[in-house]
Amino acid sequence: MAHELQMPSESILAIDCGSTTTQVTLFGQVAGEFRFIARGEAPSSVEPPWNDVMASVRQAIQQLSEVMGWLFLDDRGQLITPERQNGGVDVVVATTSASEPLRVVLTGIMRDVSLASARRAIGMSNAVVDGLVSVDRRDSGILNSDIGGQVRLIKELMPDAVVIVGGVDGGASRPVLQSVEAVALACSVLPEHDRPPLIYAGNTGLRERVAEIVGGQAELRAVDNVRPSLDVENLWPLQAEIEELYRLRKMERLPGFGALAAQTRLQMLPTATAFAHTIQYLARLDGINVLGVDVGGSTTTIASVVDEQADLLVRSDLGLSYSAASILDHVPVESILRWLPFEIEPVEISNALHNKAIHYRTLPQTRQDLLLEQAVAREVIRLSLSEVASRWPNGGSRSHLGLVPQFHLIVGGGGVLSNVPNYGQAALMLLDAVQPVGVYSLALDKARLVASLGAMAAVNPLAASQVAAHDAVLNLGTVVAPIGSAREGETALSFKIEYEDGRSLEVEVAFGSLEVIPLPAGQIANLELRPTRRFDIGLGVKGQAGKTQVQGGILGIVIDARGRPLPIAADPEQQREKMQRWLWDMGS
Amino acid sequence: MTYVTETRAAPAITIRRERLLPARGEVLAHPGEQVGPADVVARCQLPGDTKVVDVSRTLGVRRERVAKYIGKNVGDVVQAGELLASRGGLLGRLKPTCRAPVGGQVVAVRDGLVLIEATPSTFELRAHLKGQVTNVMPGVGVVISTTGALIQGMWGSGGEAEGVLKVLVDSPRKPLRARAIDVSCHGTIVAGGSGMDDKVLEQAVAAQVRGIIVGSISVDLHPLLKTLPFPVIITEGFGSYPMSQAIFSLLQSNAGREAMINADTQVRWGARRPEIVIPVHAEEAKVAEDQDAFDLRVGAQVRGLRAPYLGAIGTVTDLPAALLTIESGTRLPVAEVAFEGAEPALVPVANLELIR
Repeated sequence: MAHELQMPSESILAIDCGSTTTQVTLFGQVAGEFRFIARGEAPSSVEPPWNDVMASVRQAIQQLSEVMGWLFLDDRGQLITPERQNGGVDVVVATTSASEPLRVVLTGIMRDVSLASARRAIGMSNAVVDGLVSVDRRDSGILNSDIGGQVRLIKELMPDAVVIVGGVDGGASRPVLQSVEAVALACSVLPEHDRPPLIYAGNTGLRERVAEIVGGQAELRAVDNVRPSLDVENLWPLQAEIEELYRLRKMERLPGFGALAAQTRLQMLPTATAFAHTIQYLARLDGINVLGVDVGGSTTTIASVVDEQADLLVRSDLGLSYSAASILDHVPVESILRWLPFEIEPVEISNALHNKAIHYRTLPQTRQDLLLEQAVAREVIRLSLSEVASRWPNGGSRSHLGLVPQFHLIVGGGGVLSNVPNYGQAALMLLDAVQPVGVYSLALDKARLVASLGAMAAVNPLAASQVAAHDAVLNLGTVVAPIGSAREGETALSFKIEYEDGRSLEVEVAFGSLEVIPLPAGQIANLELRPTRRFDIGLGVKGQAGKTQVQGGILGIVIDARGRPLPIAADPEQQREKMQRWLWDMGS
Repeated sequence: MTYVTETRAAPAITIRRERLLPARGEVLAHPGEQVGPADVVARCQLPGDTKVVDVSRTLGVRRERVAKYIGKNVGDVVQAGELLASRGGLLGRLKPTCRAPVGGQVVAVRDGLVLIEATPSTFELRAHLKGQVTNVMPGVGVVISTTGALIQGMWGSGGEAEGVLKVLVDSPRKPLRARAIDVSCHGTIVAGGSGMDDKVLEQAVAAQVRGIIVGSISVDLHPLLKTLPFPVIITEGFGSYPMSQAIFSLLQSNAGREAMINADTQVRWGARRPEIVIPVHAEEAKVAEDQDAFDLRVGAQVRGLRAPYLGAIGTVTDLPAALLTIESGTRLPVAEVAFEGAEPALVPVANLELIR
């Protein structure tokens, strides 16, 4: 993990303030290496009656103290740092996803060019586009030529920032400058302290003119053009600027942030950014493609590395607590129904999701309720992935149109995945939602360490990498998912597994089925895969056999021969039966 | 200690509410003054609609050269149709002119654009509560204190209202029926038990009720609620759930009294819950509203927040120290709760709140 600062430390406490849960994790030296020691958690206290993030931080630390028999807080409730003989911890790092997302008005020219790129860059931070201005009526936003409309939009929405894009470098100027004029005019009539900062990420050649027009009406932040040419996209400078504003205008205004920031000598990171740091580290470490999926209470994060290209999507409007019902704004309730093994009226699902949104701390009490949340999680992940899918490069690791690239490791996180009573359920959620292909490892951020490690790397990269090597994720096992289709029951592939002790096993797997073969964690086995002529095991050629060495895990080896894309039965009753069988196959 | 949230369903407590202007203005009420719900306690000016006049385009003059033709400055008041700019034409030629589309104040002039803010409107802030003004924040608002019953709802829609409370069912399990709403409900706030359908809402509009309180509603009614001229508060959640007995009993015991309801709901980022306030005589108020103890203890009265116990009231009989496995198969912190008329059940602590 590439970071700048190395602080001497024997113990590190990572604090993560989520929208529904606050977690503290202790890392320390064991036999000369950093390891995960223990964790504590408490319901987050950002909202009334507490209105103070520190209330839940102290409660989680108190829990940790009880587990460890070690004092972390002094009489005044302050963290004891550095570590002393009778208690304390050397270093504290913190992440948060509890803040409101940055609300942005986006103005630009072409919907499919600069605006599309800007939307993607904004989507890589905790930010949402609240208002849109373009020359294109299809955007259902304000037209670029309607200066009055633009002024009204900014006055009404009072966004946290206005992003102005448009024009490739050396390209269009008039419509871009017109947007700048309208935005500057709108800012000029707002009270000074309410004026949003303007981020200019358009035609670089217009920067001086843009600065002249804006004058002293608003704070202007110019970054590299998000679309310097029609075929080049440059998202990260705008993303970094948005993240900086999120930190200043949202994170730092979290109730109790000051007290929390005082506990750590380092800048707090957004949880999604820290999560992505670790995913990128895991990809770099072994030179592999990694996908990280985290479904939180109010935010869903998709971090990926495909063929060395890193990507990040932060959906601040999709989650399973406060924003549980917002999935229904994007997908019909029938999409959720297909993941349930029991019959339920669509309106009952809508009611349940709206109840979850108002009783956002609650947890499923019944199995039916649990499976409903897991069904919703599948759709949340699918919807988020559909947004990232267009950005993953074609060719290379992505040889099958409409399917995800070949990942070597998939990590699932967030309460709905981490707190499953049965690991088969977590695996099935990821398999159904991501529909990964080929041979890959499946892991769970069970102790929710992934984001903490991303933050920890900033102070002690060695410690972070040592923890990552041993404890970061819980290995569920290896999955083989052949691509292809056949009649249900026909053989999709046969395989031979050779265990370390010399035993071997040969199995034929029928299309439409899920097979789980135990291979305990810590063990390795040789796998010989022989797909039939209609199936590709990720080698790019149907029917081509292959050998690989696989690692064991909690589940072992999973052969997902249900086909890609995953076939969904048209008849709801048949689909329910399928779901029941799939859950059964995965041991749930 | 285990911290949980709470819902107030209190018969007589001291209630303080801030009433704030949306913009700086003038506070009319005085400290110590007794006010009624309809009394105006403060007022302010709200800016009117904004009109942008593109002088450059109208006069056909480039933006950088048009300034000299604009005859108005920031701060000038203009009437609708008043001349904003004209181009000095040669003798015998028609002079192109640019006029104000609305009356108002010029708030910006730049780059050939004139921005006019239409004449502002006056916003009057009503007390909404019957009580005493205990604090005045000059230019900002007031704090009004009263004593009475306070019931917090779970979700609401439609703003504020006041009226005599009328309970139209005799059990928290009974839904509100359209036929129960007759002319006698005109101007009242009506309460039912478990829920209602669209016919109830149509009848309530016809009878001109001032507000509705029920235990639950189906999400299907959501779009219809937005069109109603009165607020609706639900006390439990979405679906078909009876009203909690504690809340129903409190509403029943206060039937016939004047109630003030505020349905504004914000789940996060400045969370606000809908509430019902029923002022009662001062001597009856015994408990202060604000309490900061939210720890769950054996003996505490709690309410379930999730199916199958959503809305059920019970008493905590045990708080096991260890995590226990519940029906879903998950291991988590639980409480043993004796719900009314049922065997003690293990419930996730996260699914409980204090009710008091």
